[in-house]
Amino acid sequence: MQPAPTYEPAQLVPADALVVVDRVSKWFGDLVAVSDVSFSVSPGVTALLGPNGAGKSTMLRMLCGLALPSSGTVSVLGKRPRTNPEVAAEIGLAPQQESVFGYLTALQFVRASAELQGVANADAEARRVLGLVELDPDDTRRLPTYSKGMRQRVKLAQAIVHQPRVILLDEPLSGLDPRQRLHMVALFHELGDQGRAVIVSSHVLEEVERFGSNVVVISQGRLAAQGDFREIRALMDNRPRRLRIMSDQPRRLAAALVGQPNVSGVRIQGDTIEVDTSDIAIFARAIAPLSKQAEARLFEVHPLDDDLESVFKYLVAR
Amino acid sequence: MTTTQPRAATVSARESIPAYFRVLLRGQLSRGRLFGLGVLAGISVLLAVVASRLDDAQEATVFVLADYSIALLIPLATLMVAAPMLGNLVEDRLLVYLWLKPVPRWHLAAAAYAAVVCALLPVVVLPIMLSAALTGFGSLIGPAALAAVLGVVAYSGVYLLLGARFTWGLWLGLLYLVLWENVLSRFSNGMARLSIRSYLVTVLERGTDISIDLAERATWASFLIPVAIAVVAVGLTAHTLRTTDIE
Repeated sequence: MQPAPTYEPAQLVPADALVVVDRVSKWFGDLVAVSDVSFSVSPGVTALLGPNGAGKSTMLRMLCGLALPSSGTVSVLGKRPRTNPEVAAEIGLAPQQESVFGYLTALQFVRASAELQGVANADAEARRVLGLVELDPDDTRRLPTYSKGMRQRVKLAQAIVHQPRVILLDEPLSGLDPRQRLHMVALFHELGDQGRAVIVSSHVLEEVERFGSNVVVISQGRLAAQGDFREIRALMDNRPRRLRIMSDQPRRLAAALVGQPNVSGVRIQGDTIEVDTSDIAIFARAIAPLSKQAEARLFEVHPLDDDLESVFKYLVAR
Repeated sequence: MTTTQPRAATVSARESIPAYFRVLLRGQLSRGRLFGLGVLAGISVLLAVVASRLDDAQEATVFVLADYSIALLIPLATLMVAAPMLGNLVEDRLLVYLWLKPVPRWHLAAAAYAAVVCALLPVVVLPIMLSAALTGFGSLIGPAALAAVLGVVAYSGVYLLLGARFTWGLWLGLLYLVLWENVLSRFSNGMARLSIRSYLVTVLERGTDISIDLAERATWASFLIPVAIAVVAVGLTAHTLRTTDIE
């Protein structure tokens, strides 16, 4: 008789982790949506960051059991959410899709959600959370008449009405005005401070900055980075960069650039120079004196890979 | 917030099924759908009135009940309500709100089924009873009502499953109705055994001396098989909800 295989997670899991994702992949036919991703989430706010189509929504769907991983395991509070419906009592999801039940009011929708979660006083709890997201529980209008921002808040209300310990929010700030965003971010932090794991997906870097320090970056279905946001931000800011420089003396300036220690590549294309630099900050300080020394006039210095997609690609390739 | 174990077990059927039922039933009462069902029911009554004025009124009445009410009204009306019940939720990506609950999947399947049956019984059974009553053949009212109830029971299960399982559930249901129930089942007794309609017309035939095409099933089977079909279909719907990825 062979001994039972020992479970060895791909990472060290913190003792307080509420969500553990271990070597998870998900594919649809030939399309790999998520590839060998491992991470864990502890209480507090964690941002799931990545460009559109990176696999964030697929990951969230697997976290709450809506989709079964093709390989690997997802556990929430130590249980597989797909095969243990009781785990759903500890999960709240505000999905990305905008569709809502066209024939329900906000109160009816949130109350139904509370009832199905076994909440004792469903009506009172539904009213309480609708107030929490600044909506009127007595509003008799049907959900389709609500603005996008209001619908987002209704979705959030139904996700937290049963006070789950794991809250998954898929792009929850889209459609909200700046004041509502601030209020929602404060609410996320409040929920996180209560010991809940609040996982908020977003493709907007600046938005994630407000969520807090924990970030999981997913790009092209792969885990690009995980950890403290400030470290990841520094990593993003300090990555090698490519710049386009326009000058009246491109050859002379290019020759001067070649000798610089933070320059790893120089290409001339007509009047334009493309430069690869390992430190954008040092380069920015050096370029003006250098061009003056080379007696070349600078017309333009333009980063070529400043978009978020490039940042994510760098993190994946790292 | 120090424990890492999940809270209590699942929500009981006594709590979850009525909650599901209320949400799902409310979605069925759209004006367009009620109008469609009203038209189908109205045709049944109209045909019965016409039949009652013909020379051989009883034969014409039986023909209307068997070849319109049972062959078309019941399955079509059921298809209109049952296939979109879960199918529309899948299509509109709303199923997530009902699925992600601490509830065994059969509760959702059972509640959806109950909502379909409850929405249909008045709009299908009453017009059929009225059709039978208008013709003046009292012996037909009971069997016609019973056949209508059994028809709703069986077809609701089948179409609910098709809607939950397949994107084209509504069209598959229509194909099944036209091709199997109305064409292929007439080819042989074996094929007719797999036709819900044959069990329903058998029940109807108990109220008249007139012979009805396909009414060749045993009485016990005519009652038992439609119920069994419904139970199996609801079970398979629950299985579909358990095993399919939810959008």
